[in-house]
Amino acid sequence: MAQIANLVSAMKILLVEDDEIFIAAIATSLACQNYTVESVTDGEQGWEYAQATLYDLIVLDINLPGLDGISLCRQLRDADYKGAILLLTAQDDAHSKVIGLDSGADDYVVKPCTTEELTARIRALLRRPRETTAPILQWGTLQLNPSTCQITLADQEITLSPKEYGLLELFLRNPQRIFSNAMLLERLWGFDETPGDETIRTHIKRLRRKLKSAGAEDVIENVYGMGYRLMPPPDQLIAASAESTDAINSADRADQDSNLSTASIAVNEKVEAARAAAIATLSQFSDVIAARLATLQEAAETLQEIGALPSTLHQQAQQAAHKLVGSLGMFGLQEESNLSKKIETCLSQSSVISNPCQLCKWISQLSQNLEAVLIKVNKIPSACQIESGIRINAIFSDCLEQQMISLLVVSTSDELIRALVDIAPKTLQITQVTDLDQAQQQFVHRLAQRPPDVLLLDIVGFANMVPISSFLEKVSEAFPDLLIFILSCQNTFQVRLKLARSCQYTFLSPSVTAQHLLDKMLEKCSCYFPTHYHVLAVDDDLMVLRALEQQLSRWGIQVTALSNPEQLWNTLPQTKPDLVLLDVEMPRIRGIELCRVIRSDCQWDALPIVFLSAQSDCRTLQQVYSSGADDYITKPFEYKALATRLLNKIRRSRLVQRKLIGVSK
Amino acid sequence: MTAQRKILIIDDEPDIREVAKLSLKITKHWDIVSAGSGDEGVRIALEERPDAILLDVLMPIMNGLATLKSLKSYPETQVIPVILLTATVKKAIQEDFFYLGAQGILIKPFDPGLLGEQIESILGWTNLNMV
Repeated sequence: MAQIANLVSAMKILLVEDDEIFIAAIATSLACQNYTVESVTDGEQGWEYAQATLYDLIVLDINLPGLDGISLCRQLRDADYKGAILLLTAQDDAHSKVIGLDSGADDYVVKPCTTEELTARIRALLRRPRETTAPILQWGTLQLNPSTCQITLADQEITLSPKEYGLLELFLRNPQRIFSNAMLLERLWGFDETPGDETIRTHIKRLRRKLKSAGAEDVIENVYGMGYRLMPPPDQLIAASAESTDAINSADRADQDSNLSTASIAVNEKVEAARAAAIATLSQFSDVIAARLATLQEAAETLQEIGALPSTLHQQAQQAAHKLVGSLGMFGLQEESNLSKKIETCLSQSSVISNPCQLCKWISQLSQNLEAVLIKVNKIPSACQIESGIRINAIFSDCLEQQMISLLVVSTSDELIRALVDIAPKTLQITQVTDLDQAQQQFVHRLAQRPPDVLLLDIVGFANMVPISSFLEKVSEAFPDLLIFILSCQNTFQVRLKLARSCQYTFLSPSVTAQHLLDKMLEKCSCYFPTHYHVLAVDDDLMVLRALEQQLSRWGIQVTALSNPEQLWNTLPQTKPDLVLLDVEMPRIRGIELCRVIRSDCQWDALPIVFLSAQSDCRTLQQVYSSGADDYITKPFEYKALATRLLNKIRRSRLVQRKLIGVSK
Repeated sequence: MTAQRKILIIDDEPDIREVAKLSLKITKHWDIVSAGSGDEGVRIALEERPDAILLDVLMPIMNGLATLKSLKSYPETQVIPVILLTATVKKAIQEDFFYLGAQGILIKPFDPGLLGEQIESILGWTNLNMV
C-alpha cells in the first residue's frame, strides 16, 4: 500500500486488476524501482481510489468485475484525469486496441506479458511530459502542495509526519466525504500493518494539535458513528453568517456571529447525541435484526439447495431486506444498509431471481458484517438500559432500595457480638457464626440472595493460620467487593503479611472498645457503600463517553458525560463529582489545561483527577502529573481494571477527607 | 425558544419507533407518541391530536395508505399534516399519497441526528415562526 513517506521521490501508480498474483508480481517489481504502488481488484474501487488520490499512472485491466476497464478509462478522462492510463488485455486484435486507445488510454499491453516488458512500458509512459502538476489544495489559508508535499498556513510552513500528511491530503481532496476508521485504515495503512481504531484517533489528534498550534482550528470534525470529515473552511462560515446579517451594523454583527457559532455548537451536540442515542439502542433490537437476517440466510440456503425460492419465503425475504434497509442506517450501519438495499432490489425485480449467485454473495457478506456487529453489541452487558432517555441501572437502584449493610461476624466471643448488636445502627444487619465452616456456609447459602457486605473475622485464639488464609483467599476471590476486617492480638508485620497474601483487609486490635471497633468499620463502610459514586468524564469522543457510561455503571459508578470541555467549569459545582476523568487531547481545550483550571480553585484541591489517553510518552506524562492529576490510564484499558482504579481513588480520597474533617474538629 | 410540539409516529417496526422517538426528543425536545399499527395510530391521533404524524407506508393489516385515508376521514385528524416514512419511493405510490394529502416523504434509513430538521423543513416549521 501507499507509503506516503516516499511521495516526494516516487511516482504514484494505481493498479486496477482482478488477478491478485499478477498484481503481487508487478507491485513488487515497481516498488523495487521506487514507485509508490496501490492496487485494487475491481473497477468501482479503482474509480473511488482515483478520485481520492492523484496518480501519475493508472494500469487498468479491461476485464474487471463491476465497472470494466474501458468504461473506467472513459469515466476517468471525462472526469479530467490527466495522468497516464495503460490498458491490459488478453485480446490481441486491432479492434480491441482501437477501442481501448479511443477510450483515452495512452498505451496498451497484451497479456500474458513479462514483468520486464510491463514495467518498461510504465517507465516510458511516466517519462512523457504531462500535465500532472497537482493543483494546490486549499482550506482557508491552509495550503497543501501535493507536488512538493509542503503544507503552509498563511505562508508559514507546517511539518507533519507521513501519516498526518496522508490524512490531511485525503480530507482536503474529499471535502464532503465522511471517512470511517476502516476507510482510513485501507487508504493510509499497508496490508501488513493492522493498527486499531485507537491509532487512527491518535493520528487525527496529533494532526489536529499540529494544525491548531499553527493557527488552524477545527479543520477535521468527528461525525458521530460514521467517522471524520473536513469542516467547511472558516471563510465560508463567515461568508454564510455575513450574508444573514448583512443589514445589521458591524457591532451587532460581531455579536451575532458569536451567538451563531455557540448556537451551531449546541445544535451539533444535539445531532451527535441523537445519533449516539440511536446507536446505543442497537442492543435492544439485536433480536429483531438477527431475525431479519435469519430470514435472508434461510432464503440464501434454499436458493443454493433448490435453485429457486418458494413464493412465501421470497416475500418474507424481501420484507426482511426492506426492513433492514430502513433500520440499519439509523444505527450508523450505512454499508450494511446499502447491502440490504441491493438484496431488496434483487429480490423485488421478479419472481425468478436472475442472479442467485450474486444474491447469495451479498447475503453472506451482510451476514458476516451484521453478525460481527451483533456479537459486539451483545457483549455489552445490559445492566443499564435507556428508556425514554433515562438510564436505569439495576445495581444502582438495588443499592438505593437496600441501604442495609449486612455484616457477618465470625467470632466465638458472645460478648463482642452483644456489644456490637447493642450499639449498631439499624442499617447494619449483623449475623454471627462461630467458625470458618459456618462462615463459608453463609457465603454459599446466600448466593441467591445478597452475600454479606462486610466480614469481621475475629482470629484471636486461632493458632493455625492456614485455614484462615485459605478461607480468606476463597471468599475474597469469589466476592471481590467484600470488605474484610480482621481482629487479632498479633499485631506483627509477619501476621499482617500472611493475611495480606490472601486478601485486602483492615487490621483491628481487640484492645479497643466495641464502639471504637464499630466506628472504624462504619467509617470505612461509608466510603465503600455510599448510595452512588459519581464520575464526571470529559472526552470529545462520544463513543468513548457512551462506553464509559454503560460499562462503569456495572460497578455502581454513575457517569456524567461531557463532550464539550468548555462546559466543565459550570458542570463541576452542579454535579460535585467524586472524580473527574479527562482526555488529554481535545479540540479547543487540552485536558491538561482543564486540569490546571480545576486545580486553580481551592474548592477542588482534593478532587481526584484521572487522565485517559492513548499517548504515553514521557513528556505528556510529565505534563499530566505536574498539572495536578492523580493518575494516568493508558488506552486501551479493561473496564474492570479502570473501575477498580477509579473506585480506589474515590474511596481513598473519601477516607482522607473524613480523617481531615476529624482532625479539624 | 421552540414551542413544544407533539408528534405521532406510526410504524410497525419497534426499532424505528424507538430511534425516531429518541432522536426527536433529544434534538427538538418534542413530545412523542407512537403506535405500532395503523388502527392504533388513528385511535391515538384522535385522542392526542398531535401536531404532525410520521407514517410508515408498508405495514401489515392496515397499511400506510389505508391509515392515511382513515386519518383524512375524521374532521379532528384530517388537518394534521402527515409525512410518509418509507425505504422505497415508487412514483405511483407517492402520487397516491400526495393525492390523499400527505405533506412529504422521509426516506428510511433516516439520520437520527437530522430527522427533526427534516420534519421542520417539510412542514415549514422554522424556528423563526416559533420564537
